[in-house]
Amino acid sequence: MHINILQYWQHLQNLPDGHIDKPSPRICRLMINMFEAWRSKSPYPAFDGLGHLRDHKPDVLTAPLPVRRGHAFALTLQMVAGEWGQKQGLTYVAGDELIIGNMPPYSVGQGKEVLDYLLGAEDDGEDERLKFEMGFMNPWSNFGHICPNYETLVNRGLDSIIQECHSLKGFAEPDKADFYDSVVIALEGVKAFADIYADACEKRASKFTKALGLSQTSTETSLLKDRIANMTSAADRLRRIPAKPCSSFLDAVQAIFLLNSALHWTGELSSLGRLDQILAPFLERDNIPEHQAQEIIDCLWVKLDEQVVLDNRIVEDHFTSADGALLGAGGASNFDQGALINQWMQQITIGGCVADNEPSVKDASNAVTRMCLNAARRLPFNCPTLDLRVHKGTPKDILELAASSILSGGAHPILMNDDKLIPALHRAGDNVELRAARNYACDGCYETHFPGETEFSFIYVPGLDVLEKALNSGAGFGSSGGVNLRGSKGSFRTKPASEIQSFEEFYAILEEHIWLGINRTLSGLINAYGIKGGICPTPILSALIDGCIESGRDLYNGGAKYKMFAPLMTGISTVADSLYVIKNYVFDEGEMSLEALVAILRSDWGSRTDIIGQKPDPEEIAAFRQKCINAPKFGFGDAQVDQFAWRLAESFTVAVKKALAHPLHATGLKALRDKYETKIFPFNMLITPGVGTFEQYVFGGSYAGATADGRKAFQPIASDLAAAPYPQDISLPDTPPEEWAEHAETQIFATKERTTSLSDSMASWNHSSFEAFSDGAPADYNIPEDFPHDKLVKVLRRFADGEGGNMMTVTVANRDTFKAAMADPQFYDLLRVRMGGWSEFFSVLYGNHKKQHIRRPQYHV
Amino acid sequence: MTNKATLNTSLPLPEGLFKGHYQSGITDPRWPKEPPAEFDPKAILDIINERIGAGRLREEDADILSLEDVRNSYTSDYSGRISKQKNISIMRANCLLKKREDLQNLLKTITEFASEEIRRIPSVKHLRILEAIPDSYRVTISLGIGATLFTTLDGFDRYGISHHKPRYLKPMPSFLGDSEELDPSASASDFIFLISSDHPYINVAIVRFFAEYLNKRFSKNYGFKGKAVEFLGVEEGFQRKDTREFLGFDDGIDNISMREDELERLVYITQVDNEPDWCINGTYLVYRKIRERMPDWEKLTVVNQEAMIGRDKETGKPLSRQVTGPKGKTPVYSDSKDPADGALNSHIRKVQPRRNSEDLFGIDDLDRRFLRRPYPFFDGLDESGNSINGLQFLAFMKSIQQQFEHVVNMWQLNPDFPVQGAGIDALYANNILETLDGGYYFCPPGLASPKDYFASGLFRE
Repeated sequence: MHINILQYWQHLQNLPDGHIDKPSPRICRLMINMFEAWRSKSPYPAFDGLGHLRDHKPDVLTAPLPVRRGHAFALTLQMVAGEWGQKQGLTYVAGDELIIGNMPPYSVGQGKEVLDYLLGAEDDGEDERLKFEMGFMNPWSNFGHICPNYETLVNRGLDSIIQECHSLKGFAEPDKADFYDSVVIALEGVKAFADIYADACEKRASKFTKALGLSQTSTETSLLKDRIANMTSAADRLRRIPAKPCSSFLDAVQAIFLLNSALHWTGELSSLGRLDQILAPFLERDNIPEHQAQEIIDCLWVKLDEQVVLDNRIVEDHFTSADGALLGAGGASNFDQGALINQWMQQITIGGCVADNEPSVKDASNAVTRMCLNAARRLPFNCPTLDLRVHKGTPKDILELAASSILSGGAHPILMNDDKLIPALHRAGDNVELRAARNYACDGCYETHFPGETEFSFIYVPGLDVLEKALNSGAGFGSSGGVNLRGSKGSFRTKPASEIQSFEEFYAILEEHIWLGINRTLSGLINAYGIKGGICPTPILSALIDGCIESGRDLYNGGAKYKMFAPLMTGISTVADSLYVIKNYVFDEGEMSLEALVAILRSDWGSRTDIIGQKPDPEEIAAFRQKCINAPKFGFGDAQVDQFAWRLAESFTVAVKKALAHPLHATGLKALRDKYETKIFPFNMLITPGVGTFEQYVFGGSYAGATADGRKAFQPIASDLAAAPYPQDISLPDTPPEEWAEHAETQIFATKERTTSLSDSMASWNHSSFEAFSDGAPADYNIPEDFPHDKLVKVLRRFADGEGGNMMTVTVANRDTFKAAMADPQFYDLLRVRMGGWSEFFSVLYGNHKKQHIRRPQYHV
Repeated sequence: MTNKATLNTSLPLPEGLFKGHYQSGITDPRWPKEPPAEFDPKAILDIINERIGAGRLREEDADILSLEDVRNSYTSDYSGRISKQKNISIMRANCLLKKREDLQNLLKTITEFASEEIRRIPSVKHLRILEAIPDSYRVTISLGIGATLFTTLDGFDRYGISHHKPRYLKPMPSFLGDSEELDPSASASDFIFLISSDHPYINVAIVRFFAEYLNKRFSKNYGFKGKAVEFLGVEEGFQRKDTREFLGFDDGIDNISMREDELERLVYITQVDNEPDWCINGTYLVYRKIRERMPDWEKLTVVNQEAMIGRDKETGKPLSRQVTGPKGKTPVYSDSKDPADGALNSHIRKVQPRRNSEDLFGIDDLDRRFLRRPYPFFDGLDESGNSINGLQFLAFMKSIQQQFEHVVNMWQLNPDFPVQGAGIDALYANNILETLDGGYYFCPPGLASPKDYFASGLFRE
């Protein structure tokens, strides 16, 4: 396992030549420069550094908004690749690079810069800036989280799409003509972007040629010759693609990377899709040696990882109120930015089965699948995050490579079970093709969607919220006391705890709150659907999403073939653990009344005295909390408690299905169907429930009150569908006595280590109710560093064969390693952890997140 | 009898502030590749013979016994090599200014000061009649810029110049062998001034001039109220007359030189180096103040000392079975993992393994070399009465990452190089060496004309 950069290099140095873990000298040179940059502050465009369209092209200010957006995109690309960007160090070309281009420093956490195109108070016409911001939308609202159709790109090239737009525009209504114009303008901008890079390559080649005449050593001469050839060929390539179809493996990788970077530079943080399926035909045609192809893949890995920041003191915050706005959320976006510093949504999905409509399932893994796994193992990066689809027919060597990659410390690949996800996705709507379901890929974290043909967004359904509201008559515990008396109201005013007679009655109340939450979510979504199309259209991405060009509609205006929305429940393990306490200790054993429990939770386990109602005895609270903390927990193969998670999952997914069919939404859905259905594509509103906190396990707990599992108010919850972490205010079972003082205030201890074997734990997730989570529900595991490879392969095999849930992620690190890394982050600069949706460097995390990873349970062999 | 013949070969002069592509004081002053016209081998041989005759030098200790030996010695010890001045003062400072224009003006003022001092002709007033005064004290003043000028340790770009930051510039990290008291990021500074001359008092005068008058001149010239620069202290170094340093071994035998035309190639950034354009002809400076613990060293037998260094103490020849180069002082290791050519953790094997093939990065070991321009220092005695002495290690290179850090991290302090369990450099493993202080800097290119100023490229947009 690689824990620091220096040890990584020393390890590579000791490997014999030709060792499979030893990258080529070119990759090593590129990597060492990249590592150097990780320690420094990345160049970042200044606030509003790209300016406004009126600064650059005032003549187009009177054009319709989509056309202005097209110009803004084209100008952005021209600026960043050109002198403006080069001078700031935003873009550059290095002689060793096989793949040319640069990602922007824009991560989901640090935010992005866009070239503004909206009319303001100073312009003639409507004040678009004010109007859109009133509804928490702005030019930063593009959501990303979507895979373009890169097969279209590599097989057709942009010229062909431009030509198609010209043809279709002739028959189009005015608003659709505007859409086609915007696509043509933006794609011409992408071509110019490639041309500018080609110029830069030629300049480098010319510099190297001059230097060749002065070179003094054979090593230098051979390096310069290689660089001249490389830059010359890169320039030729960029003059040809992405405008024309790709004709080689390297062409295809270059084209995909360039488009990926163009999308990110224009504010659309998209992912890369099923790379192995897209590239394999080119590799077969090229017939290049394996090491050469591997080097190209490694180069792509380097390019995708160049913007890492290892020091959280030097990060930027360019976030606005509406960055990546969640459709239907109706408020400011405010993700947990501190946990998203190095998250760029650059997921690559590999493996799985062939995407066809045939009755039999065929394994899709190929040489590129294996190269991606090799890259993930031997290059100690956090990105691209690799998502490996597995099924019963997944070859053994793929699982062996996956286990090696996981044990190398990158916390990837994530594993996804095709046999569970494909049927769920296929059932997600009336018109989902089996081929599409079989082609699923991760969007940017792990959420599933159909690459190249889907509009996607998600929204959170907080599990803790419904639990609190069931206990507290429709109010949360977070602000109980002087401000909101019993708590902040937000749902039906249901029965007070004192009147609830049984667990079943209590659970029925909880389902009422779930039902209201789901209906609110669906209503918000229906009302908001399509609005982004008139605010922040996305012409480049739309050009590469099936349905958009055909329908003349932007992706954000109903253009995609599939419209997929994922309500994601959070906190299921905390709710399940709490329901266990409520059922067993309150209703079955009668150790305490529900009313008394509510009083305890309202008081945040006794630490808040300024509350209404009962004031429980502090000693009683401490004793009961100790018992709750040591109670069985979800995620350790104990059906006594797991059953509550299964039941909750079922309540949630059934409510989603029921809400879709509810008459209250029929009018809204019909209106959308009438507006967006075309002869080619029936209107498909696919609601794909899932479970996901991603990085927001700290944020997700930060507004929730105390819970009956022993967690205090505002403390983090589990990530995704993982077992809950130990509460942050208690001592861990392995805490030595000399460190107890830290927790002297509570004197509460987890006396039992929450653990079981990785294999046994899979039973917790192996339930049919979880299979309805078509958008994914990852079990996030932590395992020790000495977990044997063969044992991990066996676990992965069992997962591929259908045990466990539909997704699993594995972070490898001992608890002691985490503790040491907190004390000496520089020494542990390669220690990586799973953040729910992707991998992050532990050293860059802020304190609460670090504590969370230390407090996750460890699963043994 | 005087050593007139030696004196007749005058010392090379620095290139001056405005004459080269490169800053003065880095690869100059420098001996010419071929001996200068006044170099008189016969006169030198006569002097050596006189010394032997007078009993000042034992014949077996003299390695020059013929005219050919004299010429070889020029090739070995002078040809294309740096002719360091006798004294150095290392002054570090932080910039207290808040505005970009003020920084620009400060750099102009620093250039003005340096120019005045470099051009100053040695005074001959108030001299006693037998006192010899050279025509030049060979003053050079070189400026290095630290990473903190580009972005503070907490990431603030005070002057809007972070996009110009040289690619490999960063605060110096920690290394094995650092003193417990050393916190490299705490000793990071915005500027370093290397003030060199052939007389300690000249250095003192220049240091004092900077420390006491730079702020005043800046205020006067630009109407600035307050302090522009905070000086953080001064380090001193001197040169011995012989080629040895405190440990008693020759230092710099294998230092790079123009003899093989490798000096500028390994030191200065060129247009193919993927650095910002303004950095071309600039160089990185690694400064390490390394203590040499003499009582511990002197307890060792000569044989043990030689094993730790990897060279014969008297002759400076390597312990390898095969040798090459002038006077046979360059080792040849047929197998970098074979201890028969000297202990694998000996200093010279750990800092330059001289392998025959390219490394992991496709780079020759010899291309990892850099220019060392070190000076011994003496800081008095510590509380135990032990002398605090060692080396002001100053090294110039085109990439800290590919040269200095590679040498230190991958070889010298890597316990598993060249083989598993070889151990780190014996001098550090035995606590003979301990790094007390240091920093990383970038020395901007030379000045194009008297109107130019240090680091002016930072302000060319």
